[in-house]
Amino acid sequence: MVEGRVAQFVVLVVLCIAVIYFVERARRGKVPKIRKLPGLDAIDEAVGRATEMGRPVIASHGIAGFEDMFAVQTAAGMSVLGYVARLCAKYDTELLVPCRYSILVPVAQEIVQQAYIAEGKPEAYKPDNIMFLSDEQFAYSIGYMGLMTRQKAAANIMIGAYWAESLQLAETGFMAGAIQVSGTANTAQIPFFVVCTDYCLIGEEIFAAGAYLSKDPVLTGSLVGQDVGRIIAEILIVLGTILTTAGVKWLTEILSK
Amino acid sequence: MSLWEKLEAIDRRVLYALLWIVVLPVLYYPINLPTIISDLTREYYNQIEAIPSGSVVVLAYDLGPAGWPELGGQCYATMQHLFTMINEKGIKVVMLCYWATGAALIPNTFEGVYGPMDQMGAEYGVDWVNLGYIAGGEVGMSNFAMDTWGAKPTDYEGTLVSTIPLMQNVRTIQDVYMLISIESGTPGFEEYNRQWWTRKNTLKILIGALGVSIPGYEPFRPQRIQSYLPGGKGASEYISLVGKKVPAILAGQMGKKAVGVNDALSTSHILVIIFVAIGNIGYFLRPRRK
Amino acid sequence: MAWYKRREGPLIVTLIVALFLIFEWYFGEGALIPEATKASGQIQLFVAFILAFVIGVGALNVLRIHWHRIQRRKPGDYSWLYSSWIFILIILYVITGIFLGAYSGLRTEEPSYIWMYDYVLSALDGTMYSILAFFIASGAYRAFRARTAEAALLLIAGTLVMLGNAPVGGVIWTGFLDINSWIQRIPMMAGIRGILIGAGLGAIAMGIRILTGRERGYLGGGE
Repeated sequence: MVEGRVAQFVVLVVLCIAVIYFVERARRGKVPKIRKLPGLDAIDEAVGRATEMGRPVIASHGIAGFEDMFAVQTAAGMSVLGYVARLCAKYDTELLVPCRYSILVPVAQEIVQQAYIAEGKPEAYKPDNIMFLSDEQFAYSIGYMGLMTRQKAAANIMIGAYWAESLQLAETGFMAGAIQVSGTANTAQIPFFVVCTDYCLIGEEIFAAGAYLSKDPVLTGSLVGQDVGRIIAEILIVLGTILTTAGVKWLTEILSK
Repeated sequence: MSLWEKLEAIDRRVLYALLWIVVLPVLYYPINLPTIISDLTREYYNQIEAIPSGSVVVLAYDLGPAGWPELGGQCYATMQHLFTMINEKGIKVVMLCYWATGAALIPNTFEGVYGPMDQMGAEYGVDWVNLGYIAGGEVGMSNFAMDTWGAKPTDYEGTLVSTIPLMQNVRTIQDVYMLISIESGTPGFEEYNRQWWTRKNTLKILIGALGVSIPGYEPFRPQRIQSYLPGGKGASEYISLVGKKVPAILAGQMGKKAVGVNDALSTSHILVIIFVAIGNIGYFLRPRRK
Repeated sequence: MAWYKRREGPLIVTLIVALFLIFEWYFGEGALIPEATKASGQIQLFVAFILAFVIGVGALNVLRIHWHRIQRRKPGDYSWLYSSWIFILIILYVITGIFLGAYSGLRTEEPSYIWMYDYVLSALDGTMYSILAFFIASGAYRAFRARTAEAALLLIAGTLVMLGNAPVGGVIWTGFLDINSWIQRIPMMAGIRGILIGAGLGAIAMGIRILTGRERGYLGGGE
């Protein structure tokens, strides 16, 4: 084996087994329970507010695609989009979904359409409401900002991978008078969302949100598999801190192999 | 509405107008507010000074036009510093970028946009080379780490790298001593970390960073990232350090711009702090409705 | 369904290629199994070619979408004018960059193209980025209120970091630099490490779901 990657490989194998085991367990009906996150109630509140005001909801899944490291955030955003679409279908609230990549438009359209069909309102589904803006970051941002301002959105739900446009979108949403629920795992953007939006899901809470709202056994089982990884990380951190402080190096040496 | 309630709810346009007033004039007419050079900037400078003779340094321009106002000074000063090191220690510099919009910014650094850059007798192709844009993002980084010639067969001018003298000894990441990445997003350090550092864990890494990106680099310092330049402030500090070796840089447009940027950062930060204080005073002193 | 439209094909290709690359990373890199490293390098070169090609496909896709918008324009809706503008600009850029002017190797030296890059694209991008300065100011003024204990802590930490980051802050009192450095090196770094670990685990889980065919979003959605 390549030097320096043995420990990495062992951890990867353990994680793979954990994820596959819990996913299969969930698919067979034993879906684990996930605690409710405070920000998720806010999604219901946001859609409810938009319904009362007769103004649209804007929901986006981030500006990443499915082909890179940020795909998991996009997947979480799509799961939340499915939930929001069901609420909008239930309450006859207009839903607008701006997309950065044209390749994601059919994915988002299918998710929203399925939500409307599930609520028994297939005729209310409008494919033109899921729109491709631009694949340039700031062109997408300005298009989104324009959409929020022109449509006077009452709710703005942004869960996914965001970069520099996060503050622009959050602040514009505030100016438009929208209630905002946000979440991202991009560390540099989390402070902007925390400061400028009403509710913010931080880091891996967006993965939990996606699993919790969609009730998808695959996502839920996968989340529990990730929790196994977190437990391993926590044990290693605590052990490593104690041992390194005491001058004992065997754990560091094992992990370096 | 009481005075305190008004202080708590000042129209944001007033704030924007005041921000214009405190930032714009000092950019054109700097007031030379004092500044202290931070440890991070000094470490960045020292790391470059300590590059061993003959080593290969990769300078990556992983930024787009949006990041140029903040990072342009870093690009310019870093390249100037590397030219002094080419002159003093015979190091070799390979310039490249993984952002399509970054390739066109490399000529901006040389074509006098910010004033004189002294190439100090460095010869293109022997002492430094510009490979331009390498497609593929993180996959492109992985390709470059495994086979530089395969990942980028030509330089920015279209010359085959197999005919460039400098590139004869730069075949994989193992031949590179240091990476300096001046970046404004993704792909950036995280991708270099996964594709380059994991293949050569003695690779030195310096980052030219946007101010907002700094939190993302701190967990990797000092094991993986030796140091980074913190945004526009870091650029100004670094320019003043490099200016000691190349005085023309301070006298030129970049030197004046650096002072202006420093002043603008100071005045804008102070304005925001004042407004935060005003907002809190209004919040605490406003009459409470029973 | 036609065989080339079925999803099993891409799933199998994904699985085989991913497993091979993982194998090469852990067991074959470098001198251990040089053939595996070479094959892995070739596969990754293919990916780089495809991604480079995708840039061109992306541009054609943008043209296609905006052409449909122009065709489907309705009375009273003037957004098709923006679509027309995109059309004009893309064609102008392509013609100027590829077909006009002087070349240096593969690089255009056409002054008009460089002018458009420097004075249109760079200027607009820089402007969009600079909006953040105003939004940060108004966001900070609005949000940094000591309404609760946590909000007060955020306010104090934010103010200290701002003073530490401002060039003049260190001149007012050098202690701001030390406090800023401590906040960034200890509590902030700890929080970010936790988030990075969580995001990394999420990415691994996503990869496993893709390899086992449980995640199909990248194929265009659906079961």
